[in-house]
Amino acid sequence: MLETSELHVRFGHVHALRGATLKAGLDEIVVLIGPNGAGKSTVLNTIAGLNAPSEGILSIDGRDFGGKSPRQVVDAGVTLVPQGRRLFTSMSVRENLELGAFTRSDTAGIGRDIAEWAKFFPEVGERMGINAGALSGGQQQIVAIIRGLMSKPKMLMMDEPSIGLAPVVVKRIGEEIRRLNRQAGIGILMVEQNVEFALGVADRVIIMAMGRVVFSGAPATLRDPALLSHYFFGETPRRKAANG
Amino acid sequence: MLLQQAYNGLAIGSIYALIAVGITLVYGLSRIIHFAVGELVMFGAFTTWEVQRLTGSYTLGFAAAAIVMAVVGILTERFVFRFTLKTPLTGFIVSLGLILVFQGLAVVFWTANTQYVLPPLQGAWDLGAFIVIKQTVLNIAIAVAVLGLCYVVLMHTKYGKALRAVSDDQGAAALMGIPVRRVITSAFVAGSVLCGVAGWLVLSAGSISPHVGDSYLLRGFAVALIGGLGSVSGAAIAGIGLGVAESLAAGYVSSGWNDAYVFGLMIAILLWRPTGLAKGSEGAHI
Repeated sequence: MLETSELHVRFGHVHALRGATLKAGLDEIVVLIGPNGAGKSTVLNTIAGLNAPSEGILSIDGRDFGGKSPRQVVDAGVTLVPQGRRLFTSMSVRENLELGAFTRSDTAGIGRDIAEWAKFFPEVGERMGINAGALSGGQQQIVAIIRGLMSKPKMLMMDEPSIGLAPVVVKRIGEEIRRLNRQAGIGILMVEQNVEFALGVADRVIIMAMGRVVFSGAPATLRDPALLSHYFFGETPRRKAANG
Repeated sequence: MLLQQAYNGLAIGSIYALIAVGITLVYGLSRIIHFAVGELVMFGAFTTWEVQRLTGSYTLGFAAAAIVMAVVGILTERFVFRFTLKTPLTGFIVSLGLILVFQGLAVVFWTANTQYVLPPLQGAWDLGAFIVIKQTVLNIAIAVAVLGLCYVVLMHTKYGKALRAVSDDQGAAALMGIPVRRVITSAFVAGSVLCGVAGWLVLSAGSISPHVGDSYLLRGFAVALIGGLGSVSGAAIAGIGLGVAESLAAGYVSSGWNDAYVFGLMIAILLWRPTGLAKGSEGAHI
């Protein structure tokens, strides 16, 4: 559904993506991992229309989407939940969710969806009227995900949904992500720094390094720490270090 | 005396409030300190006066001024401030240049002389305790209606919410599919029209000149800072408050010190609350 081929992105002199080629479908949870500066977030931001690729192909449902506006990407059914949640903190939770549905015009349907989510996540539902900035980190992440879902996407992209959250909350977010994919049929493409969380939730893992994709496969194949550190650090550590 | 001065302050304060809300909308969306707002007030006043002079109708003058100011807002954003959105400080400096451009244009069109204007409404009501000039009633009604409309649009319409979202976080707003560029342009349009409306009210003072905006510019900024830059409700309330305080002090002490009251009050309030009155109160921002 989502496909990039030899994608290059430059920020001035910084060559952030150097030919990234990857695919993500609607029936799977794909997690991008890799060392800092590998270009993981740049991939998501470029698909979302925040950056324009300088070379290469970016397509959604087979149609070319390189350099399209964020609005056009949302209309095509792909929504990004940005890193650090980025809620509108001076506005209420309800207003945040309404803004997530900005591209929709069915007012009644938007109200119904908000009411349904409020029932589904009572801890958020009870706080619809208060400022989003006053919620706890976990609650804010849930609001950020629901806000992304309010546009009724076919595919949801998430940039580090686990960041700054307590382990018990991370586990819960992982369960919700799985449920979205398995029950609602929404494709998931997410970036994670928390490798353990990433391997636990993913159907397929993509490892990036230096602006390119260096591995794509099932998480089980990455259970060997030596292999992981090979991709992260570019070398196979001595046996002692691998065991430690 | 007390009632009379307080009422006069309300009339002048409603002008400050309109300008300050214009300043704060532009700042909230672009982080640009737009210093040419005094000239927008002057342009609004002159356009109203000119159209009234040609057609004999103040209503037509008001309508023409609103349209002209909306166009000025679009043009200044599209051809000037859009290039400085990434460096708001440059936007501020450019706006200083715009003051000269606007004043120069006004001198070309209307000469540098003071023009004497017959306010739209004549006469006054003597209520015993104090005298109410009919024009000021109209002025206050216009200001309250316009500011109320702003509030309703910002708080309760889809577009108003999108505007507040862009003020909060432009990148996140773009991800929601909000047309950020267009929203920023609309803030410049709204700010310019608000200053133009203030220009209507300035006409009632009886005379206008290309420099009529100068004192309103400084008071508009004092009010926007007192209210908390970026806060619409703060600007509206601080505008009325400053107008009343200035008028009372002028009545009881001396009107020769008007500037000192205004800026003394601003300094005192900013020493007490450096971010202005409305910062920190929930949901008060645009």
